[in-house]
Parts: sequence; C-alpha cells; structure tokens
Amino acid sequence: MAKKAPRRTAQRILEAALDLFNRFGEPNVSTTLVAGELNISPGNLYYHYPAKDELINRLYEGYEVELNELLQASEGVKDVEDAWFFMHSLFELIWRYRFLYRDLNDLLSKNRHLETQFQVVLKNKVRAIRTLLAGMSRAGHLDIDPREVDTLAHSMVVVLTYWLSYEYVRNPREALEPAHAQGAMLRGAHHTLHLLAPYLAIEQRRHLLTLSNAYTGDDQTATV
Amino acid sequence: MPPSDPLSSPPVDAPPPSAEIWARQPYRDTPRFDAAGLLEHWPRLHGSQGLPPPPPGPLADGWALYHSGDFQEAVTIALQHGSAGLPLANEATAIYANYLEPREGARLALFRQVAERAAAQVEVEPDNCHALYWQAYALGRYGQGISVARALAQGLGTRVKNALERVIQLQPHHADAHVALAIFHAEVIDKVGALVGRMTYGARAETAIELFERGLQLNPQSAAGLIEYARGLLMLEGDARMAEAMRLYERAANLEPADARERLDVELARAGLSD
Repeated sequence: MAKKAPRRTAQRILEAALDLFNRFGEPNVSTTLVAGELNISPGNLYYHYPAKDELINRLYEGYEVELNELLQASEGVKDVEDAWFFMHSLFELIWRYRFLYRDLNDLLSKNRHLETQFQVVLKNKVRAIRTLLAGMSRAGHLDIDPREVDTLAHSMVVVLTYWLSYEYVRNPREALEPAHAQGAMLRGAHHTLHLLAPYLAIEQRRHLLTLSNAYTGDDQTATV
Repeated sequence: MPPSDPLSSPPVDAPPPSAEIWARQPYRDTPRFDAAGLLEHWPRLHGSQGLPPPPPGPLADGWALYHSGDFQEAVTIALQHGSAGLPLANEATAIYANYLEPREGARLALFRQVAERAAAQVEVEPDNCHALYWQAYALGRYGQGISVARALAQGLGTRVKNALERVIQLQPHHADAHVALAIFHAEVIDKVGALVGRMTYGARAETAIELFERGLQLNPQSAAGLIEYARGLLMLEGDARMAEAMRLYERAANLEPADARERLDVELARAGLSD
C-alpha cells in the first residue's frame, strides 16, 4: 500500500483547486465544485481542508516558497539575456498561480494572511529587481542615475504584478486559459524588460530588441 | 456557478430541515435499526458518550432513523419533542453537516444552529454532558470552517476547551470528549505555534497525545477517533509519524461500522488509503 495515502488526497485537492481557481477565478469556485471535480465526498474534502481559506493559504504558501527561491536568482543576473530568462521564469511562476493575481484585491480584502503576506511579496520583488539592476550596472551594461533606481524598480514590479490583469481585461473570456499562456507571458516579460531600455548600453539594447523579435514573433502585433 | 463563499458574508441560519432536502447517505451497506434493535445496540452506539437510552416511543424511532443514516427524518422527529429531543436533533444535525452537507455556507449555518441550541440548553442545565459535548463539537467544526485562527480570535477556543474539560470532569469515561479535546490542542498548536498555544490556551502536544490515547483506550472501536489521531499526529509531528498515522488509518478502514456515522468514518479512512 502506498506510504503517503493520508496526504495524497490532500495533495490532489490542492491541485484540483489550483486548476479550477486559475480557470474560473477563486470567488467563482466553491469547495463543492472542487469535491465534485475529484469525485470525493464533501466530508472528505472538509476533513482535509475545513475552510476554503485553508486551501487558499496552502496554495499561497507553495507560491511563496517558489517565488522566494526564484527571486534569489536575481543575484546572478549580469546582462540582458540573464534578465530575459529571469523575467520569463517569474512570469511562468505567476502564471501557474494566476488566480492570486486575477482576483488580488478581492482575496486581500477577505483573507488576513494574504493581506499581510502580499505586502512582503511586493517588497521582495522590488528588492530582487534592485539586485538585478545593481548586477547589470556593475557589469557595465546599465547606466542609471542612483536616484532613478527606485522608481525603475517599482515600475517594473507594477508591470510584473499587474500584467495578467491587463491581459484579462483585454480578453476576459480567454486570456487566462492555458492556450494563451505563452503569449501572455512573453508580452509580460517583454514589457517589463523594456522599461530597462533607456538605461541600457547600446549593444545590450540592440540585443534586447533581437531577443524580443526572436521570441515574440506573431504575438508582437498584439502588443503595439 | 454560484459563488458560495461564506466568509465574505456571515452565514444566515439554515432553514429547518423540512424546508429543503438534505443530501442522502450514499452507502447501501449502512446498518439499519428499528427501535428494538436500537435499544439492543445502544451500549455499543453510545457507550463512548454515556447517554441513557430513550424510552420506547417516537423519539426512540427517531434515534433508530439517525443511526440508520436518515438524518433529516431523525431531526424532524427530534424537533417535535422539545428539550427531550435536543440530544438527537443536535447530534444528527452536526453529523449530517460534518459528513454530508456539500455547501460550505449551509454546513457552517448548521453547525451554528447546533451550537446555539446546545448553548441554550447548557444555560438551563449546566451539567448536561450531551449538550456540552455537541456545543463544543459544533463550535469546533464551525471554527475550523471559518479558519482556526479566526475562530480563536473570536474567543471560540476558550468556549470549546471549557465545555470539553467540563464533560471529562463530569464523565471521565466520555471517549469522544477526550478525542475532541485532543484535536483542540493539536489544532491550536498547528495554527498558532507551540509557544503561543501554550501561553494562551495551555495547549500542549503531550496533552494532545495523552488525550488521544485515553480516548482510544476508552473506545478502541472509534473510527473517528483513529482518523483524528492520525491527523493529529501528522499535524503535531509531521512525516516522522507517517507510519503510525498509516496504521491508525488502516485500523479505521478495517472496522466493522456499527451505524451510519461509523460507516461514513470508515469510508473516509478507505478513501484516504485507496487513493
């Protein structure tokens, strides 16, 4: 018999909830729907997660762990190509937990844990972007007045955090479905990184444009 | 699909059971009782609670329906019998809400209903163990349902703990109260941490384990007790106790269920193991 059975149901519930929250939005998904999707009894679901908030908080914890690991990687960013890869990884993570971003204000207003933790998330993101900017400056690829660093870091975090909301407004019925993941993430990374453009050394700036063209292809039309 | 989040708006009182149809208990192999069979099995069914059997009559029929899994019918009969029907009404409503009610908001409203009815009864009869126990059970489940941290902030923790400690004081052989108090200790430690849990509620991991052990010693046949002990062990000590938690699950899954509620518990254990 499998060794981890009592935890496996809990894990399956988490995965199903994440999928449904992402597709339909957390406020539109009841615990009944999650239990129905898994074909388990309501008692079984409540046994593992007696409150919807517990499901949300557990999913959030998973996101937070992965995010903090990823943000550490900002220390290794030296040039535009590193930054491109870093930003894509961030968007991939955000996409996997997009229900958090899709209904962010709603979640914050009813969940005290998220209300406090998300402020930390923003701070950590700003810190990571500052690290990224410092690394690129040290490598001689970025020329920025120290007084402008803070504004740039915050602007990048705003785009990073709210890009998917922007995508959603532009196409509410489909934007957050898996078929649109690739385009949405590429556009998000592209726009976040282009905030760097005015400060980039000429070679790096050219390289950024090359990368954008190479990756965005058809999606480019949607961004202009 | 309708948004059904009970947290953004407080749950309103659930309608009386006659107003809408409750979900049915789905297992065909659930034991069935008539009033005579009920009395014969009463010691096994209520031994862990120390509740005296009802006199022959409609209320006994109601209890037979409850143990057969006809929860709504049982509650309807119970509510026609004033305070004598409250033990049945509260137990059947709480068990239905915990295992079968699919809608989160309705489930919470039913727990609140039980907690309020039982609290009113405790006002009149402060030493009524059945009322104290089901008040604590309903408040505890309600608290889990609105999130334990929030329930503690609302002062539900003290009420649950006091009620269960009083039951154990009055009926030292009340197995279910031991298990319920054990869960309380485990949940508090899990949610607020060992230090704060101990300072604010006197919650201790050792106390939780002792209470689980004592509860299962008093009623080794309790599937609910076995499953909750497994969950408590994992909550308190994590994967280090996985093997033991699995053994408890297996014991619960292999029990011969004595009534509908135990059938639901056994199913919970089986679902966990066969997944």
